[in-house]
Amino acid sequence: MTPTISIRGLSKVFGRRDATRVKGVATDGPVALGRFLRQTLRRTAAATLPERSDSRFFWALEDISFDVFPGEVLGIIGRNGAGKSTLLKILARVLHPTAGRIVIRGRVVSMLELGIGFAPQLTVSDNIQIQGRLAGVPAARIAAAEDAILEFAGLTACRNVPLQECPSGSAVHLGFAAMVGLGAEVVLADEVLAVGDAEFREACESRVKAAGQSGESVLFVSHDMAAIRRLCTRVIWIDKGRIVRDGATDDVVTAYTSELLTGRMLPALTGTGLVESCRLLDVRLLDEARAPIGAAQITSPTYLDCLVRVLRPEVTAYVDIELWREKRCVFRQTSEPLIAREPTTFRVATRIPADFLNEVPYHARFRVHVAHRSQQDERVVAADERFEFPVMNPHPERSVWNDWRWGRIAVVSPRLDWKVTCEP
Amino acid sequence: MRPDVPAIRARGLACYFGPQLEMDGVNHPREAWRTLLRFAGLDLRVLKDQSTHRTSVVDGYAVRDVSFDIARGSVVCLAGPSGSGKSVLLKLLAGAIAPTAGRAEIFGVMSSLTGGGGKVDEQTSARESIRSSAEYEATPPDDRGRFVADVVDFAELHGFEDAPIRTFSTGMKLRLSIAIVLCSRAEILLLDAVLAVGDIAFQQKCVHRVRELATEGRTILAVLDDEAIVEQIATRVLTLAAGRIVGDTSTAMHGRHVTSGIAADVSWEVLTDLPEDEAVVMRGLTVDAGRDGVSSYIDLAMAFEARLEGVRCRPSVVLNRDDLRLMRTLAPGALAIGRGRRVTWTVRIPTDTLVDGAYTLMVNMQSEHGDAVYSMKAHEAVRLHVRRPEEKKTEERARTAPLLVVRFPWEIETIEGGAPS
Repeated sequence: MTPTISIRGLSKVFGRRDATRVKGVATDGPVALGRFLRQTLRRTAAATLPERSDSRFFWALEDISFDVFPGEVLGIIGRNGAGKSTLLKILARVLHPTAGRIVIRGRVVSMLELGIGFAPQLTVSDNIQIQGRLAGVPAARIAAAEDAILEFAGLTACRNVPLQECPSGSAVHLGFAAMVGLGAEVVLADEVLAVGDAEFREACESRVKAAGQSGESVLFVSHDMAAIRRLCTRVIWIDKGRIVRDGATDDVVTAYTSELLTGRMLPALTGTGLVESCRLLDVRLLDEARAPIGAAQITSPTYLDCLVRVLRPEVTAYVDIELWREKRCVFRQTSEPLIAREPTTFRVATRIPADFLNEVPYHARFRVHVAHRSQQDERVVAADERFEFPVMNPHPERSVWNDWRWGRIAVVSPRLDWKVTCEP
Repeated sequence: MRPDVPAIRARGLACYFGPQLEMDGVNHPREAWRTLLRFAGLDLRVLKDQSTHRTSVVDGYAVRDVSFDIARGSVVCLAGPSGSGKSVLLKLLAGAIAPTAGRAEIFGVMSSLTGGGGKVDEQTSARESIRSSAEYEATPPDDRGRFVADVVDFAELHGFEDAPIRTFSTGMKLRLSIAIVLCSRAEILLLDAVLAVGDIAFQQKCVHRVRELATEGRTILAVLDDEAIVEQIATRVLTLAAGRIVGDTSTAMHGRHVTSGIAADVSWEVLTDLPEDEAVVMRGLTVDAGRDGVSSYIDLAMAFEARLEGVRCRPSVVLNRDDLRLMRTLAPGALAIGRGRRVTWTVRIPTDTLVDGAYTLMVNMQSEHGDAVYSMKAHEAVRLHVRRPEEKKTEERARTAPLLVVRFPWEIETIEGGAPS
């Protein structure tokens, strides 16, 4: 059977930003010119690859090769920052690969960030047309599929209503419905099924299953091992940009979860310093049922969660969890001390209540501080990781934004007590 | 028992600890020496001397002038920062310490679990501990057997009934202590921060039991730090700060609050030149904050008069810090108002979540009449100054300092222990 996707020797290298470097034409110009000359003069990609040891570059993906066959639902798992999303973005042609060769046979539908690419002032039906045309579907076929798409998204009544006046979850639903309604050979899905909305999640899952059965290939990135087990026929586990394991769902998921809790596969810590006494195994966003999700919901509580392994008995570890909006820290919380007699993995989470966040993207930042128990004042940062997450509002009628059609800009929008008194 | 009699009544309750020496850290020989001198009245430099900042003398009341009634069947949580007097208040009510002034009356059989060690004796077995508890004594003789079985069952100690308690883990001991209280026949239960321990499943079991007890008409007074649990069980929250009650809220309100529990010193200036447009006129704008401007919130009251018949109005308030829109809050829904009618909206803004600095409140009235939409804005309706003297500001900290002070509940559990083989 011919594979739908075949990937050979794929690598992606990002340049680390040099904090000390002054930005401007004088400094950027020569760099850009140098890069241009290198790439034009030496045609082969491999020649332009930096050295592995060069600390100015970060290898997001390193020599990845695999095939995906028709009808396969391939799960991609790994820690935050392992390179899963980079891989999907390259397949969706949002990012350029640095080296390697990718062959995709068929049209690609990517669900990397739902609701992106819509024009809020246009009507729902116009938005479907735009999405379809951008995906290369003929106008007649889009028109034929329109009814089915509207029905799937539950927006039949809003056909000629500007998108901004529909409930704010509509863009998400419409995005998914349009993607799948227009048909494609390859579906790329990045954690989008996990916006916490149970009904919608179910609809998405059954669609992914159907896609697999009808001979389409699905690539599905998720932290939710339960969803992976339910949906996938094969799983690839990526760590530090390399494929660790590729095989049957159960084997790979079991191996991954046991590794996740112990961190055995991480490079051995050789030093004896404080930093080596503790490690941050994973950072996640969880919903109310403590299941990993890709986006938070305004109307339900969300957990910022991490796994910390304390390896030495003589140290105390603290976790700082911070929430950032753009370049400002919204809040910071420092956990109770974590102490372990023998190597122990702790799950440390803080609960953001419902009706607190606004419908904007935030960053969660996790820092692990370690100190000797006898010298509490001398703390060292052992790990510092962050991830970005969007906040959705699929049930506006239940949120503080019910019936509000005007400005929404704010760092947070908590639900406060309002009282009304009318004079006779 | 007459139904109008409360379960607990406190009047002017106070607990004076006298001059207290607070020492931070270990007893350094020099510190101890100076401390002795200080007590002997020989070294008065101690308080002034910067090098001995570790020692300070607090002259004070742990609880001062506290009065309240607690109704039967209610679940009341005591909240407040540590050192605010919650645990002392609970001990006063439990009779563990005597009040300096005031009265505490308990109407009914009480069971309490206050402070550190719990209710168990290290040297005895679990069964003996249960039998020697006051709760066992208070149980009618016929039911005593069932009480023991209930406690063992609730504490999940099957098979450990006769093991000495010194061999128990901390979690087992606490579970046993909690179970004795929660399984007792007492009408009034006092609990100190105990529901926050144990694993999530056990916590949930306690929460479930507390709710059950409340529906049976029993009264629970608990010190709880875990906002999530407070939200789940409390029908009323008393907030303490520096030994006084500064907040008394029913939880329909409290659950919605984002609070850090640290009161800030807040002052404000209110705009006097009130705006108007074709649809509404702003008639009044007042700010009110509990006592002496030191409280955990401000109440912002906005009065509007409608100029059009049946205009639909919905106010919102935006809290700005410099040019950053920090917080936005909307009235829950639009309200249709008759012409000439006056309506007052009041919103409670949690100032204890704000860090030191100057803020402005923008009041926005969005009104609709037929197809017409009016938007009236009072920029800088209120200028708010929040002072938190305890915050130390350094250059580095100022850059990454958080915008809000919140205390969201933590969840910490061990999920994989033991060395990997």
